[in-house]
Order: sequence, then C-alpha cells, then structure tokens
Amino acid sequence: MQATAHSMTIPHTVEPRPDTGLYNAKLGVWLFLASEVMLFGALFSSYILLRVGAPEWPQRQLSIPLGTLNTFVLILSSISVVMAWMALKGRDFARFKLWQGTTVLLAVLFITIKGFEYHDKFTHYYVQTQDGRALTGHLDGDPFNLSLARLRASPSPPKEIVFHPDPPRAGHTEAANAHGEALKLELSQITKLEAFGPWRGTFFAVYFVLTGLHALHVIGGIIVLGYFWGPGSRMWRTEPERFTNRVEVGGLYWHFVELVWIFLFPTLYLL
Amino acid sequence: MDRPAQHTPPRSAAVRHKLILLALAACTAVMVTLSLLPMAGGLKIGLILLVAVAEAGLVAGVLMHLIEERKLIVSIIVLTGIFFLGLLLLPLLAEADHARHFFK
Amino acid sequence: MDNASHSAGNHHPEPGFWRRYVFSVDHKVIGVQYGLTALVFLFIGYGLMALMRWQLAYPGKPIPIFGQLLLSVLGPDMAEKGIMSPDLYNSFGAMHGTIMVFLAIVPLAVGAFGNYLVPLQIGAPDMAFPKLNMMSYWVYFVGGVVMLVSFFIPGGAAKSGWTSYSPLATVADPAHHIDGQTLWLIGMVFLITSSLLGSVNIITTIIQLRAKGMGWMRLPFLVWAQLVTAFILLLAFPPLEAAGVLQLCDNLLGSSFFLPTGLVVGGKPLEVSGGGSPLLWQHLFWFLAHPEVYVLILPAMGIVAEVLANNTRKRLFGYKSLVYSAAAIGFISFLVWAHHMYLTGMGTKISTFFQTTTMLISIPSVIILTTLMLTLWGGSIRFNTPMLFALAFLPMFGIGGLTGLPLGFSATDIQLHDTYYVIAHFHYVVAPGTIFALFAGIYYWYPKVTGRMMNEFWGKVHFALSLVFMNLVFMPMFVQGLEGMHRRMYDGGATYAAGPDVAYGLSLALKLNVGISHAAWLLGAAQLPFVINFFWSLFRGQKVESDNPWQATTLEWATPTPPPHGNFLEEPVVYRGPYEYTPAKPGVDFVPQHCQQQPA
Repeated sequence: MQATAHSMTIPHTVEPRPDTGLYNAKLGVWLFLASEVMLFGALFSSYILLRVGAPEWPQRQLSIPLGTLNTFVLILSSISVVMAWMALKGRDFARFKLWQGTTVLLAVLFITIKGFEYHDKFTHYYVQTQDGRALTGHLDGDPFNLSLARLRASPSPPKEIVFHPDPPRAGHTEAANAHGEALKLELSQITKLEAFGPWRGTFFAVYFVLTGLHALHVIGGIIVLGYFWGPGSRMWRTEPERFTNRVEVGGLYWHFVELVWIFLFPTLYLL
Repeated sequence: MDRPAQHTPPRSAAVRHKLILLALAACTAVMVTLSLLPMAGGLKIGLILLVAVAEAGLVAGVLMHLIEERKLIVSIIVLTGIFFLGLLLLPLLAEADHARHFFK
Repeated sequence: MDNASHSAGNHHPEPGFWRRYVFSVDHKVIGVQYGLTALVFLFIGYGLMALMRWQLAYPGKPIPIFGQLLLSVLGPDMAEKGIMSPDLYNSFGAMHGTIMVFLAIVPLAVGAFGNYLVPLQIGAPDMAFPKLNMMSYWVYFVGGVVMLVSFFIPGGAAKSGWTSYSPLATVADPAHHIDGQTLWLIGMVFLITSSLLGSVNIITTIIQLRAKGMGWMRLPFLVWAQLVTAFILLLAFPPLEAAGVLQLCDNLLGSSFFLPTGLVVGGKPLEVSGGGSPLLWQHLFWFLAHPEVYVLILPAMGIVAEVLANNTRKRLFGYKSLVYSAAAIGFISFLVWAHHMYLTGMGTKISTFFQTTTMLISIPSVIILTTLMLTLWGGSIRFNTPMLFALAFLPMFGIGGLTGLPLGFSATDIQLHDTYYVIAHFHYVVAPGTIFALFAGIYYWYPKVTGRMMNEFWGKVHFALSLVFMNLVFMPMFVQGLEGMHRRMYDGGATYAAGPDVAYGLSLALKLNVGISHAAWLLGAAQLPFVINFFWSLFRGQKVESDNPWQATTLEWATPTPPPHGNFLEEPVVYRGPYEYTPAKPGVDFVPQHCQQQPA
C-alpha cells in the first residue's frame, strides 16, 4: 500500500468520549446486555405462555434450600466483583486479586451446587406399569438417566428392577435416601421408565433450558473473570486504566448474570 | 466518568456494600418466606415478583451504577424494557383473545 | 488528491498474507469478505429457486442436466430419475428463503456495505472493536457452512419452510435423529451470534467514533439507516435464538415446548409429554422475522439516498423526515409481528391491535419513499448505472410496499394468506427493491474499493434486462395469489387443476407458471454481464483519475484509493452537512463535508 493513514489507534478505548461520557467497551457491554435481556425475556415469555396454558403445573419440584443457598452465593459474588474493581481504582492490585479470585470461586461453587441439583433430577425416575400404576422414585444404585430402551438393549437385561418409591407427599426432597419401601418391578411389566429430564413435562423442559442457559453464562463468566484474574492481569503493569476498564466491563456482565438469577429463582423454585 | 465511588473514601464504600449485601439477602429471605405462607395464587405471584423487581433494581441501580450512568445507557435500557414488556405481554394477550376459551 | 509517499518510520512490521487478507481486522477487508461470500450465497440461493421453477413449470418431468447431478449427489430418495421429489422441493424452498435472507442479503447489506462504509463515512480509522468484527465474519462463515452441509446429510436439508413452524419442523424427518432441521437450528445460532456481535460493533462505532464536527444531523443517511438496522438486529434476534434452542430441545431431547398434547403422526400418537404450544414458536419466530424485513430494506434505502443525492447534484429532500422516519420504522417494527398470524385463531381485539400498528408503520415508509422521489425534482440528473438501479428501486419498492397493505388488513389477509400474492409482495420489496439498491451500491463504490470503474455499457445492459425480467417473474404471481394459488405446493398447484370444476382464473394462474419460470431463468442469464463485468473490471476496468470520481461530498471519498489501513491521511474535521450540492451550477457544483472553504 502506498499511503499511510495519520493514525491507526481507535479513539476512546480507554479515555471516555466527552459528549457521551463513555469509553467504547462500556457502551459495547451495555448493548450486549440489552440483547441478553431480550434472550432471557423470550424464555420467560415462553414460561408464562406454557404455564398459563397448562391445565396443571407441577410445584415444589426443586430444592428451595439449595436454590436459596445458590442465591446467596451469587449475591456474595456480586459484591466481591465490585470490590475487585474498586480495588483497582484504588490501585491495590493485591486486593483486586483477592476479590476477583473470591468471585471466581463463588461462581464455581454455584455451578457445583447446580450440578448436584441436576444430578438429582437425572437419578429420579417416573415409572408406569401395565396394571396402571404410576410411581416416582429412585432406583437401586441411583443410575444416571437410565431409559427403558437402554435397559432392554443391555447385554444381559435384568428380569426385574428394584424401585424405591417416593414417600407419599407432594413433590420430593433432595436427599436421595428419603426412600419408601423397596419395590420389585418386573421389567416386562414396565410400560414407561424415564428420568426427570426435559422430556418429563413442560415445567422440566423450561427449568432445564432456563437454568442451563444461565449456567452456561455463569461458566462464561468464570472463564472471563478467571482470565482477568490470571493471565489477563499482566495488562495491569503496562496499561492499568485499560485493564481497570476491562475488569469493570467483566463485572457488569457478572451482575447481569446475577440479575437473571434473581428472577429465575422465584419463578422456578418459589411460584 | 464521574462515579461517586471513586471519590468516596474506602470506609464508606465498604459500609455501602455491606448495606447492599444485607438488602439483597433480606429481599431473598422475604421472597422465600412469602412462598411458604398460605395465600391466593395470584397475590403470591404478584408480591414475590414485586420483591424480585426491587432486588433486581438494587443490583442494576447500585451495583451496576445505572442510577448514576449516562442518559445514553439508560435510554438504551428503557428502550429494551419496552420491547421486553411487549414480548412478555402481547403473546399472552393474543392467547387470551383466542377464538377458543383458553384460560382455565 | 494524490497518495502520500511511504512513511519513513513504520512502527510495526507488515503483516503476512494470512493476517492481511484472511484474518484481517481491517473493516474494509472484512467488508469485502462479507461481500464476496454473500454474493456466492446469493448465487446458490438463486440456483435453488431456478431448479424449483422447473418443477413448477413442468411438474414431474426430469430436470435437464441438473436432474442427473441431483440424482448422483443426493440419491434416488430426493431425485429419482432426475425428477424433483416433494421432499427435495420442500428442502429447496426452505433453504432458498433461509439462504437469501440470512446468508446473502443481510450479510451483503449490513456486513459488507455497513462494515466497509460506516467507519469511512463517519471519519473513523476503523470499527470500535476490530477483532470482534473479524470474529463476526468467521462465525457467519461457519454458520453458512453448517447450512450448506445440511443438504448432504441423510434426510437432506431442513424442509419445513424458512419459517420452520413446529410441530412439522420436529416431526418432518422421523427417520433421522439429527436431521436437516437440527443443522438449520445450529446454523441459525451461529448466524444470530455473528449478527449480534456485528450490531454491537456498528452501534458503538457510530456513537463513539464520529470525527470532530460530525454531529448527528450531519451524518449521511446511510449511516442513520445502518444505526437503526443494527438496533433492530440487536434486540429482535435474541428471541429467535431462544426459540431455536427450544426447538433444538424438542428435536433432540424429546421436550415438548412446541408440541401440543395428543399429536398423532403417521397414525401413531407421538411419545412426548405434550403440553407445548405451536403458537409459541410462531410468536417467537415472527418477533424477529418481522423486524428482519426492515433490516432488509433500511440499508437499501440508505444506499439509494446516497446515490440519488450524488446523481441529482442536490441535497436530499427532507433529511430530518428521513431520519425520524427511519427511527420510527425501527421502533414500530417490534410491535407488528402478529400480522403474520391472523389466521391462527387470534380474536378481533388483538388482531385489530396488530392491524393498527401495521398500518401505522406504513406511514414512515411512505414518507421515506416520497422524500426520495421529491429529491429528484429540480435535480441535474446523471443517468449512470448506479443511478438507474437507484431510480428503479423507487417504483419497485412502491409496488412491493403498497401490495403489503391488503396483507396488513386482517380481513383481506384471510383470502391472501399463504398464497402467491404474499410471495409476489415480499419479493418485490427484496428483489427489484433491495437487490437493485445493492447493485447500485456495488457499481457506485466499486471505484473506491478497487480504483477502477465498472463498464458502463454492460452495467446498463445488466440493469435493463434485470428490470424487465424481475417484473415478468413477480407481477404474474399477484394474479396467481388472487386466484387462490397456494404457496409451497411442489407440483405448482397441479392438484387444483385435477378437479372437474376448476375456475378459469385458477387454470390461467397455473398456466402462468411456465412463463414465470422462463423469465426466472432469463433473469439468471441477465446476471452474467454483471459477474463478468465485476471480475473483468478488476484488471481491465478504466482506472479512476481522482479519488472522488463521482464528485461526491461524503467522507469516504476523501481517502486515497483504495483507503489504507486507518483510512484518512489527516484527521478529518467536518464543517458541513452531507449533501452540499448546488444543482445546475456550472463547474464545481459541490462542497465535500471536510472542506472548510468553498472552492473558488
């Protein structure tokens, strides 16, 4: 190329533009969050339509103690992520590392608890027998997401399965050992056996999609916030203001993830 | 870029954050309590969602600095909010006005 | 304006081939990448339709040449004896729409023209997020590949319309768990992601990187159009992404988001939980797909405005009206979507609401068309190729827009819904509408990108033939639709003709299929001069004598040709509005935006 331009630096990456008062990434992340509002909005709209159109809607299917715990975990992480940014504004890198690290650990804790909740759903079964019985409960050994087809297709299919029905009460508790008496069901008598996955009904479908998409966003946050805690923090030494802006933008994203949960929790767990 | 937090001495910032933490935790506790009380379905949903909106307002307004953010950002969020409400309400109204009886 | 010589102190080494032409972060390279890829998809989309048109004109007859090709590539299930099977027709139909809308027109209008021109026209060195820009292109590319691959998997590509209505989209291919629809949904997730990242970039760039003196009311109208378009994409696409995820769950995980209770397929009850709502899919789909049509038209209006101002040598009439109308269109477009759902059993109250908003949105559209037409009055018109396409856009978009009105009224839509009238309406807006504007843009900005002019004679030939054949293809479709001929029928409605009491009108409509098909094939042939001209002119086109061959006023013409990395040799400062022309003045009849003094 023959000619060279006067400048190739993009203005306002660090210092804000006077008339808008914003630096580019701040505007960019708020625009992105606006699109995320519409994404989760569509899912909440789906939830409303499906629930309003359903003749009956399952309630108390999820563990309120675990959900509440997870809510507190996210609230704490929301505070810690702000403390991390404020530490940088006060030029305290060590404190930033502390608070940012705390945030990432809390996020990992959230995912762990969520994983435990999911595991519980996939080891909880609905079974229908030929004599018209419909039961919910657990199987011996708590197999993960067993299906009738897979049982029958296994190399040596068992003649019968040991089923532990749920105690006769609305919904079930999160502890896998709150069993009723063991029941032996012949495989040939079973017409339907499925775990409590998204196929179980529209409530579970919506639960898994809403919390699943939210969990993916949490994992995304772990990656981004973790990167800023780790290798990305090298930028503090060369371009401290730009790095502070990045941490702020990451924090805004993280707050949005918490915002979604603030609506997810009551919608799915409490209502 | 005038953010009061920048000019607030560290101690009152810490106090502010402790207050927010307590407020958010309290909102959560209120929601859970409300859900356990016996009351009419519609009322329960309304109250719990009201608390959720308040809690969300605290996160958005204080933690995300939306209260002190520039007009441009706030107007983008307001515009999004309008479309969000449209997406939430209009399909519901379409179902309600359906040719067949829809609501139980 | 001559090119500055090589600066003595290069502070970074020259990037290699891959960094410069393939994985570039320069908005101009990315714009050209989008443009070339989109044109390839435009050709593919056209090809699908050309094959479908054989089946419509000569139902059940083997397709010459391509029939054997389809048979050998796709197998006898799809093209036994070289005849298009109903499944193949449906696949081609669904993919023609998908490819044209999401892989061709929007990437060309927004990805190519938006990316290339917006930073230049606002006086910026590049987009706000250059690396994000590059990622947007490659994510689009991957999405496109996924869509194309779907043709070759067992069962073939998606075949439930570009609208992918449930439950058909879930049950259309019971033999294959991962089917064409699955790949369509995955492809859409990639395309939507690319679009979202692109919109964030464009909006931030326009707000944050305007040059000194470039106030809001000095922006070229093209930039305003791109801004509104980007907002529409930003806020309307996510619900379709959500819906896509939900349909993927229905297809792969056995959920029932959109599957109602008691669904029976092939005589057997479907083994799903039920409780879902097919209407939910329609709401979420059309929440995007209606604003999407304004995404298709607004950049085109922006291009036409630029070309008209330049070739009438006068200011755009009613600049403020144009800007406010574009913003109004953007806003109202989010509130009209259920006019696609009048026949789903919606009651009169909600139908009236959507009918009202639909009528309201026609007002700013008419204002835009009228102001563009009024720009011509008193102008000193130059009839070059870009201007011819821009001029033709006006009546063509007029026809397309006006024929939308009977569709917007719920009462008349009862007769016209899902007929060829609908197909004629939207093709008029997009084909001799948007695509003509995009052609105008290509002929107009080609000299800035390449330093050479495209051949004028062949440009005019391309224009004249395209105009004639576009109308011969789509005008008869209004007749077909009014006669009740349904869309998406693989035999061209031949089943209608089988009955003993076929009305004269309907049999006439069916006979029109042959003429329409021939016109469609000739339309394709008419693009050959364009393709040849495009490539030939790269090497042998007339070299431009100045950096501003059209004597235009906007900032992109104030750069060297082609613009270097970083765009401007000196930091641009804007002193005036975007269209300071003085018609009928002898000699120099324009003042560029960045010029402080009036030239002598």
